[in-house]
Amino acid sequence: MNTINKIEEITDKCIKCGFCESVCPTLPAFKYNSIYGARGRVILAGYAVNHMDEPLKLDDSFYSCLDCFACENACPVGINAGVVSELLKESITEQKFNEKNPLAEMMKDAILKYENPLGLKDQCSQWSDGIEFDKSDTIILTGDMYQLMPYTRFINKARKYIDSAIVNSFSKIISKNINLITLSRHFYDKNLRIKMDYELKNIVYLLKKSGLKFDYLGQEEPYPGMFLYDLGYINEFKEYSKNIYKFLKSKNVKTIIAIDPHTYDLLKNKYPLFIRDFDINIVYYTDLINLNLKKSDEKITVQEPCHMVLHNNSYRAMDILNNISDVKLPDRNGKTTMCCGGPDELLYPEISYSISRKRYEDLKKTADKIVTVCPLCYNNLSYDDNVIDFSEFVRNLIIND
Amino acid sequence: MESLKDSVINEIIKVIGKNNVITDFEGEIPYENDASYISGEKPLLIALPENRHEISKILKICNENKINVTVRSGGTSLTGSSVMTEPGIIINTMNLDKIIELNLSSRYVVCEPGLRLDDLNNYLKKYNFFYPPDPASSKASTVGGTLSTNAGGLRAVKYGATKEWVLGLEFVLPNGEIINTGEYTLKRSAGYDLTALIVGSEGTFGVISKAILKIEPLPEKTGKIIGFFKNIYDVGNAMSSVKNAGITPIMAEFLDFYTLNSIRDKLKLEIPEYTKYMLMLDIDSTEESLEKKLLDVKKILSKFSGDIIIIRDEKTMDEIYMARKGAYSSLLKERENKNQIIVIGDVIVPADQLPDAMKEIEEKVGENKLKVTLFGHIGDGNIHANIFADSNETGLKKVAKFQMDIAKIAIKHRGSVSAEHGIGTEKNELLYEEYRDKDSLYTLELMKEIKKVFDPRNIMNRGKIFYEHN
Ligand code: SF4
Ligand code: SF4
Repeated sequence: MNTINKIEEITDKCIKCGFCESVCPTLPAFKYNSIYGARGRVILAGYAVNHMDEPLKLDDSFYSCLDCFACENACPVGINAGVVSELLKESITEQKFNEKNPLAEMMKDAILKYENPLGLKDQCSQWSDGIEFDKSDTIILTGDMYQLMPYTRFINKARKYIDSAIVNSFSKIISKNINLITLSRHFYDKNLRIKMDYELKNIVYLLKKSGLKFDYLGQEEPYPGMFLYDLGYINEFKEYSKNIYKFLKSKNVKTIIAIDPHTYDLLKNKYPLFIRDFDINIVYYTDLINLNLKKSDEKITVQEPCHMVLHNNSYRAMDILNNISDVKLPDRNGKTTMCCGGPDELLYPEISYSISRKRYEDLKKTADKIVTVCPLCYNNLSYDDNVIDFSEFVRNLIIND
Repeated sequence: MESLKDSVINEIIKVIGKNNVITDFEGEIPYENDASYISGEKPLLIALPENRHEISKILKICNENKINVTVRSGGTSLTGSSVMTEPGIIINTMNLDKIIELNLSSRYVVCEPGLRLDDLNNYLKKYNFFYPPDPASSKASTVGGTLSTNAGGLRAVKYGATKEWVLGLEFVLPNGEIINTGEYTLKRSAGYDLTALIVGSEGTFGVISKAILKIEPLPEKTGKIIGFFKNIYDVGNAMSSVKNAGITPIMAEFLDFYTLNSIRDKLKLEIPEYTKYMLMLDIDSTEESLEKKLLDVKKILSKFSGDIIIIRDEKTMDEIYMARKGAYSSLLKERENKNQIIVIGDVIVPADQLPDAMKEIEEKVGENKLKVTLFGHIGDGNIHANIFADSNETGLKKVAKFQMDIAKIAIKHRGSVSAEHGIGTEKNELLYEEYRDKDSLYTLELMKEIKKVFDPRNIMNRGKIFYEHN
């Protein structure tokens, strides 16, 4: 079945009840302009595939979708507007509809050339300088997520002052001279970089302390292609993921420990769709933690990551936190958790800000200390110093450390 | 020269800024529909005001230019109330979504029209209070929309429909005037009750910009009783016996076998083979006396059914409540193809007439050779007939005929053609029939005159409520 048929099959089921948009974080952020919410996306997608000859402008509606999948749980007929958005983005990159998104194109070009969306592959392993890893067929794979946060935060701050038309023109210029993107290495948030490096080290520490033996590929660590997938470049991703897989096999990797929810979800659920007989075992680092921890007397709240809770039904981090602290969750929790807005950070910074601010306030009303289990959540919600990464929170509670 | 359309669009943009209007072709597409099967006109513009002053200015512009205005918030209407019957603009009030004031001792909450009902109740729950109207769409439907249709819901048997819970309104008239109606008090006897008049007017008078709503403490304890029945008469008699014993449940629902089947997996109950109907009652009481009250009800129901279950566990009760609330949605999964629609009928009869009315409806189902499932709020006599039909002309004609058939049954039994979904465009002919049968068409004329007082230039939600013979 091709992409268009798939979209048609899903959108035909929609009864336009609007339940999905009641939980969609982007809708209020776009001041309730329907095509920036779940129901509007499904209706627009249905219209688009039935009017392929009309010149429709579709990219903003679907690129602004966070892929959080909150809508799926609200829909009485089981439609996932996030999946509809993924398919629409794929159709856009296949040029079935209007012009491609220039910023997305630029990142795709950078990934294909540098194996990193900002051309920063060599920067991404620096955090591990001085750490000894084991020789093992189990590796940790960072997906460059923690490492890219300081750069995206910087770009974001600058983007708030630049009109999107200028950003698009600029992106087109960079796409033509893609080596220019490597200049981004000079622009990052220094404090966040220190923090992210620290969290990466914490994760390694927790795993080692839990008695695990694992390796890290350092400079050779491949970027798994998350942005290619998220931005709809599925054809490119198919090829790209095959090469990454081949590389990992050449390194004799048998188990990958993912350390962020997005990379975990990609490797666990998307890679096997494109790679026949995919046989690398994918685990999430919180599933492996086995430590003697003391109980914290602090009341905390947790930003449960969409890619674990909504995409993978996985609550292991929550179980650990529940055992060691007094966890209070906001109204939207578990299957109704709300995204931090992170996935919109690069393309729609104001929207991302509006969503993260709302979520931050909801969390703050619940408890003063917010624990995050995803670098994107940390980056988007750390409006004060009382937001802390899971790895750091847990590390502070190790007995006799 | 600038066309009327362009000048109106430009004026509205001047008033609320270009970020608060939708004029692009793609952006307007979702506003051609609401949750009904009825498609409307593509709007010239969708305005997303952020306060009452902006609403006032937009209405003034439209009034001066005689532009049709449809108000919309959650877009969950089942009768086409929130789509346009002729070109014009849509005012979407979703950006007015705040809770302004809560006063527990005086028992009210003040909020804006774009607030969703579940969000309101999640907020009130923290204070052990609630706002009782709870239509099945409460996840998405809003204060503004449910006031405009006088929505009911599962708890109406005890708490009544929305109208009972609205103390006062801030309301923007088509000429831009902002008025206040009603009070903050639980009683009022101060001239004509304009608040009650506006509730249920389906956006044909103006725009609600604020509402003062009455609230209640949450029931101390509730328990659920479920019974399985072989026929509708036993269900009806069981219900009447409970009521005659002086017990008013907070929820009293019935479902036919087909509906039951569509939510079977969510209910997780053992359903006896003979079942044709299921009855579901929620009983509230104090902690101490609940058990006794439940046993009393069980005893009454046992005269009519051999299988009665009492459920006390809150999680299970919640799951069953949500399953019932999602019954219409679950039926949607049973559509045979994309062209099949399910139209939800919504008639009401006095509660004691329900079994007879149901029997006649069942006969009509057979006569019309339609697939129809039945469920509803037995406590207040509200029957929802869910009609499966093709979305083509023949299918829609069949639906219209059947809707008229059941409307006539309801009227015959001293009921009404619309219990809680409003009239919209779907039921205006049925409303006409109701008053024709009562030999009281003048009532409709009076309604039209009232509409003229609020909206002399007829800009508000044209084509709704009233049946035009041509
Ligand atoms: S909840 Fe599902 S059926 Fe309802 S509007 Fe959204 S996608 Fe459509
Ligand atoms: S995936 Fe998230 S952002 Fe996208 S439509 Fe669904 S709820 Fe909205």
